[in-house]
Amino acid sequence: MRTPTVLVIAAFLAAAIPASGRQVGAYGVLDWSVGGAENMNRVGMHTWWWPSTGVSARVSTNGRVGIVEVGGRWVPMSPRTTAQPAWDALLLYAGWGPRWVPTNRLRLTGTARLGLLRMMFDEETFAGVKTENELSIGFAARVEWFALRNVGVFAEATAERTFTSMPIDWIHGSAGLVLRTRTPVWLRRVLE
Amino acid sequence: MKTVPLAAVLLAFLLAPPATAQVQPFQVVIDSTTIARSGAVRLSDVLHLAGAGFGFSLDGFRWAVDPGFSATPLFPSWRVRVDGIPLSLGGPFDQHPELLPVTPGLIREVRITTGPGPGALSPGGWIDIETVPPPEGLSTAGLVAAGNEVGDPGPYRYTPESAPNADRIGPVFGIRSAVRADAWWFEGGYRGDEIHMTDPALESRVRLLYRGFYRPRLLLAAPFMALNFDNGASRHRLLVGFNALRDLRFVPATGAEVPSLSRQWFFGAAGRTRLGAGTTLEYSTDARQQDLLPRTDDQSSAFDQILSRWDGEAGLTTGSERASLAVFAGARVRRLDAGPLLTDERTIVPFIRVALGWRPLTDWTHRWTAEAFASDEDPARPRRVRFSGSWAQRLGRPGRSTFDAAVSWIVEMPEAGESPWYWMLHGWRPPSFRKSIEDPASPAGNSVAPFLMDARTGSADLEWTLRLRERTTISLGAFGRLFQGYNLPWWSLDPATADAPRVVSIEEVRTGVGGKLYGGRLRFSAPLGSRSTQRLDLTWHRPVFGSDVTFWQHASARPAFEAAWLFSIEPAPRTSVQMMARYRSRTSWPAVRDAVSASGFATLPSRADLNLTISKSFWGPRARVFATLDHMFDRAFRTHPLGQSDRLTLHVGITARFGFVPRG
Repeated sequence: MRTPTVLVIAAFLAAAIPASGRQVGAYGVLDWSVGGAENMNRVGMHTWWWPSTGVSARVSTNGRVGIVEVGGRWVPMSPRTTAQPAWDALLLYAGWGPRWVPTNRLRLTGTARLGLLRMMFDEETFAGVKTENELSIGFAARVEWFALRNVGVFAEATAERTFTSMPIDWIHGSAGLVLRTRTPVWLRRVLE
Repeated sequence: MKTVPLAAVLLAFLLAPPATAQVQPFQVVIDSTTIARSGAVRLSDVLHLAGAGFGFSLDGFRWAVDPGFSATPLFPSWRVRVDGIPLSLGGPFDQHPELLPVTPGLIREVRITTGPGPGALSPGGWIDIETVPPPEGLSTAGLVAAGNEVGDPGPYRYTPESAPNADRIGPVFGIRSAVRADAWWFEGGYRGDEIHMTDPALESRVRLLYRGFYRPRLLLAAPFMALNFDNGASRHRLLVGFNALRDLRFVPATGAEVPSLSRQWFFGAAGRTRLGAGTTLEYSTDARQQDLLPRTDDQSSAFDQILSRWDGEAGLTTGSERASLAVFAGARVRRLDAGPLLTDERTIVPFIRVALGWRPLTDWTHRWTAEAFASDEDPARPRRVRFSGSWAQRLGRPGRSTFDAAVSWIVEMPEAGESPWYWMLHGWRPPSFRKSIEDPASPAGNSVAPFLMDARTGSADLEWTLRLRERTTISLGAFGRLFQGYNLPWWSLDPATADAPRVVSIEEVRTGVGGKLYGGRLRFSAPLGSRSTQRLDLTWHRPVFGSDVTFWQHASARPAFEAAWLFSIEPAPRTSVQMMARYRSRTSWPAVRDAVSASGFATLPSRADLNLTISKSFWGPRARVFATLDHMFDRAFRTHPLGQSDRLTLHVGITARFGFVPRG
């Protein structure tokens, strides 16, 4: 790893709070997650497309009640026949839910998520337009385990429904890394 | 019986002593907190928070709300004031709430009065909108929002299961910038909106009318600016604005969307200034010119007209806490230039209004209002004078339990109102009429009665409000309405469009229509803990047997029973969850039955609906982000047999306010 990269990571970790289980005020910490995402279920839509492994990213903070989160998940969809175009499923969401911290290293979270699925096609849907957006509502169950003070791993299962003309039900599994940092003062002021 | 109204007016003059006290009965107030928590992005969203009078819409944009129980819910007759300026924007011949220079995020309060007053008498009541005055210095505030209705085909577009696209809602945005120094401030603003007609019920119809690169849609652009002065003793406001609405607006007078470009210039002013001890000079004026033109790329559409209107009044109010007298004089001017059909036709109707108030006891107030309109516009009835009057009393005082009662008798001359039927009598025709005139082969039946009567509305309202605790009130009300001499349209399917994409046209205007209705309402509001509020509204009404068939058939388009429950909670500081549950009973639409169904009957079933908004303030009070889920049951929600059906819809938006006070 190159030295500048190491320094950036070190500075980032230095900004992190001392202990993941410590009590902090509302919006006092930010949890950054990034990982891989896999579509686990198969519905009618999969007759024409098969999903590749995607990427998920999320940032959450402790609100006054529960946690709040925003995030996204990108999964490429490849056609099974030449009659259909490839497309990318990009879910952008905001969520809220309770969190349970049984130990300093372990955290369990359940959130309700409201989002938009942005469908980006390789072909135009209308003149000059290649995208379509649709409402998605879902739930997520998540476990985080902090091997280090501010760095941990997560595993997450999500279930969502996208309200297209024929609703699409999704079940995804995700896993990756979590990094915990202090909330910058300016951001905390905005969130307050 | 013609002497009865006049006798009632004189009797009331004799019996009712003067009153200055501001009796404001039969009023629903929607405050800025409720509006902010609702995620309202259009003014119709705000009006829907009133509870009853939800109204209907064909395109999901222009809502004909009717909280005051007009003679026909299809042409509600309420009037509107924005910061004291009476505005009539819409047309032709109707109000269009979305054309008002108002952004929901900048509203301080909306007062919906279902009775005839205060101020000028209005049979459909008044809607008073007060905007938030800007802070000292430079400031900018605005709202931007967009929505998405479920049901897009998504990837299924490329499969055998493809379905029509349900497009987005908006984007909607409004902005106001202001500069304020003490009592003076100047503000300028802009509103923009997009309405996409992708619902199958609309698209199949408007596809016949629309030619363009984009899918059928409406675009609104509405800038305005205002100069204000308010030092407590005097208050003045000058408003100048413009709005352009294209391409496919629904025009109630025609019964259909019409490819057109509507451009309106408007000017308004209102104010009051204290002349001496207890004497105040007040004035208001509202002028507009609407050019309704063919679309630039579609010269075949029939609209090509300029409609102008001017209302103005000025008067003096004098008196004390116990008694007052107000005398106003003004005029209403209307002008229509519709090319070869009607060239520069003009009407001028002067009027005077006298309002008396009296407070015989500390907790007992009266208000009495009389109006006289004079017209020499109708050759068949020269030098016509018509009287209107109202009396209202309140026992009790705001903040405590009250008992309100009001009666009114209002006579409206066709040449002084917003009705299109007067102009039709003088030769103007909406497009569908014109087509039948130009085409001799068209079926007979399109006709206009040779004579229009003055529309007369009698009203009686009772309301008992019991304040049980600080924030707990229960209100019981009863009301009755008597309508005479109304001119109501009757629609039918345009024979030229008898196939699937149906366009409606007015078959005839039925004159001299009368009817009666009565009803009751219950309002209950109480907190549920320290961080939540709730309000329940129940309204029931029924037309009286024996009313004219035409009235009955119009009235049946209004649900006999409406219920609304508004619940709001703040689970954490500056975070809110607000929910509105609604129920409206079954409606019948015989007035458009020929256009809807070959069986000759059109009904919409009773329907429950649920909206939920989650909002959070950021950066103190400066910004608020909201997400609203409308129609959460995700069942097609239709309010007009020919209109669109709404499904589960997500709106997201942000309102923001920023201010800067220059040093020195």
